[in-house]
Parts: sequence; C-alpha cells; structure tokens
Amino acid sequence: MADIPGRLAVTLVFDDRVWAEEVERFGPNSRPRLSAVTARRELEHAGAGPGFQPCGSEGPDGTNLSGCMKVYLPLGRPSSSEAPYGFVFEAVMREPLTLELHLLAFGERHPRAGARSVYQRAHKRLHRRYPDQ
Amino acid sequence: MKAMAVPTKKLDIEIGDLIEVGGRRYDVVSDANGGVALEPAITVFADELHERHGTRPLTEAEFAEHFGHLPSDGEG
Repeated sequence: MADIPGRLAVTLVFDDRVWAEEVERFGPNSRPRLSAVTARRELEHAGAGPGFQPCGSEGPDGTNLSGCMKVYLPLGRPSSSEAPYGFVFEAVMREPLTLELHLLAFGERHPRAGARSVYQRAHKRLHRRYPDQ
Repeated sequence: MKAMAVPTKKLDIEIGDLIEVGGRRYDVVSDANGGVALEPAITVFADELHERHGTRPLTEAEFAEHFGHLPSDGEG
C-alpha cells in the first residue's frame, strides 16, 4: 500500500455477514444506514486515514475493545459531536505480514436508553457476550 | 361502554436468549431498569471470522507497533 501521509497502511475488510447484522438492521433509507454506506464507499476508495483511533480496553460502559480501531461517521466532520455513528474494526494479521482492519460493529456512539452502543455491540462480537451479561 | 382489557402475550424468555420476531432475530438484553429490551442479534463472532478469513488478532506488541502512535479520546 502506498505510503501516503495520514493514511494507515492497512486493508479494510467488511465481512458480508457482519455488514448484514450491523448496517442492514437499519431501514434502507435511514440516516444511519446511508451514513454507513457512504463511509464504506469512501473508505474502500481512499483507505483508512485521519479520524481512525485506537479503542480502549476499559471503556466507560465496561467494554474491552483492546486490539480494535474506530472511526466516527459521517467521516470528516470537524467536530465529533457532528458524527453520531461509528465503525469499530478489529486489527488482524493475515499471515505472513498483511495487516487488515475487519469490521466488528456499526451503530450509534450514544444511543437512547435501552439500546446498545456501537462499542457494546463490538464487545459482544469480540467476547460473545455484552459487558453486563 | 365496557372497558376492554388489552390482551397480553406472555413470553418465557430470559436475558441472553436469542429470539425471532417477524423473521428478524433479536438478543434479549437488560434495559438497565430491571426489565428487558430487544437488540438486533449478533450471531457472528470474531473467532469465527478469523477462521473464515484465515486471520488472527494482533498481539499487543504488534498493535502498539502499528497503531500505538495514534491518539485516542477514551470514549470507548
């Protein structure tokens, strides 16, 4: 992968079954789904770059997303408060030395009470249970 | 006019169950108020994805090497 300033030398992978469970759970013309579809198109074209940041191993809601990266959507907003959604990816290695980010979850960063955040959904996909289970 | 009781369907489900309603699958989760809520189901897990794609998670050292220089906001 070309060494472009600000770009991460990593391949993004959107597994179709994960995409179906994370993005297609929203209505076809809903704001969250359109945001995810647009962002995926942009990321597949331009690759991972500014805005990608490591997740935490001790999230405020009990999540452990060690080894994961996140980016807020819509992409490129000047303030994170204007990007209510997020992708969470797991950083993986395809032997011998190909670094990839595989989608784990998509959703709201701060959903209404009772709904699970993108962080909690990523935690479950990683650990097979929600933090409070 | 006589008041009519709302018919109630009782479901014998617990937190952690996977259910299907109208062709869609949901995880039964806590609503943080002593009750339950339905969350669109997660049935594909990271270890299965690794097997499917022929990958493995990064070690801590590998993650630090490739991404440790990036800032994080601590939100999650």
